[in-house]
Amino acid sequence: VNEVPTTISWMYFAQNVLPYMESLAWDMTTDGRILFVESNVAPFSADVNGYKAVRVIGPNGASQSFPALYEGRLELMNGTGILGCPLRSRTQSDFQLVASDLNGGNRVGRMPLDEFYDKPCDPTVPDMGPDSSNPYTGLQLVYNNPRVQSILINRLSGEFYALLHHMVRCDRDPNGGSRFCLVFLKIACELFLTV
Amino acid sequence: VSLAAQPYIGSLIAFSSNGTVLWWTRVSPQPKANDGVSVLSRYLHGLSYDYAAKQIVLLGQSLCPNADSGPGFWQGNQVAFNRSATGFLSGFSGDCRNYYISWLGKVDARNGTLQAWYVCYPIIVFDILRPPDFNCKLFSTYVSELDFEEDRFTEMSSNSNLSGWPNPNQKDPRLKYTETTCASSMRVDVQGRVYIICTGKRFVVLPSLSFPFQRKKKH
Repeated sequence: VNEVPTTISWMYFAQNVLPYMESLAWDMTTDGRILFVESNVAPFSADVNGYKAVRVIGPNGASQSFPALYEGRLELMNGTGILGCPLRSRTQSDFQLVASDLNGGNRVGRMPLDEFYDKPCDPTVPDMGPDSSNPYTGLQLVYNNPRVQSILINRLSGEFYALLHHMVRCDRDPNGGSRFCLVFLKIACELFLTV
Repeated sequence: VSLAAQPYIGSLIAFSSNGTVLWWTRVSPQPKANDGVSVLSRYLHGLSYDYAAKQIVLLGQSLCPNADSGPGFWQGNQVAFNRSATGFLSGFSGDCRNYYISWLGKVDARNGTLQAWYVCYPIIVFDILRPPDFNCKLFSTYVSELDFEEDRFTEMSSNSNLSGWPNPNQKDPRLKYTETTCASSMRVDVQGRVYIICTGKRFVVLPSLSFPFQRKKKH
């Protein structure tokens, strides 16, 4: 705004299902593009057919007015879909790749969500749901729909960063053991205090 | 199992301008199957960019980590980038009573590596008229209020800016909640200084603080 605001230049209805008081993740570039997370499913919901993707709006308010940068849905190979295969490895070798955890240790899985699943992602059946745990980490999702906490654009490079929260099970272990869960104690305390 | 009792794991994913995944990190160790430790809830609530150092600043929350409960976020004295580093409050200390405590860290925007940074006293920048000391190095640090029901502090910090307060990395001081009070409210200025707002009953204050009743009694 560089003058007295008298009218609305454009308006875009962003689709995202969010619980009360939860804010839409969005940021904008210096040239007026806006990134936000579009989704038809609520965070931590059980809908395996939902989609959740980072979408860009151009300076004139038109979606997709720019090249398909940032675009992505379930089945897109080169987009930034958040559900399905885009954040998972497609091959067994990538799925079990041992690489640096970026602080002197190692981790298994080339892609961010590998550690929650028991196999690479099959693009023909992209969203298999959280029905099994990863053999290396023991982690298993409760729901495959994460919450995208925030989006941040690097205004110099155009790179962008996203914070995701996944809900995981703490009572499953692929080797027959069981993980305990400190969250239980906290919940119990809160109930006690409430009473 | 109640769904409300399931833990959350936060992750940071970096994308190129055309949407390709560049790198990702959970700023904590990846768990191993059947390792006998719990999965701690580790939220990442705050995300900001330090244009001076080309680093990404993260503000997280973790259940209190200890040997039994599994690791939380990487500690300030466990930074592979600089093994000799210590954070202002390197790790959790005291008794783990299922507290959520906060954490601040910086990662290299180029590759996600946990980084060194050069701001001191991020714990609470309470008096912004007096900028913190810039001479000390900080890497990752926990952020928490202090529990003074049982005073486990015995050794005062040699840092004059702490005004008689003890070194938080000595003598197992008991930490308490930050819960949601250090949520996502974080800003980074052009010099890379990090500002957060938290609430707590007792916290370290600088000598310039306007409210003398909050100052620590000198030993």
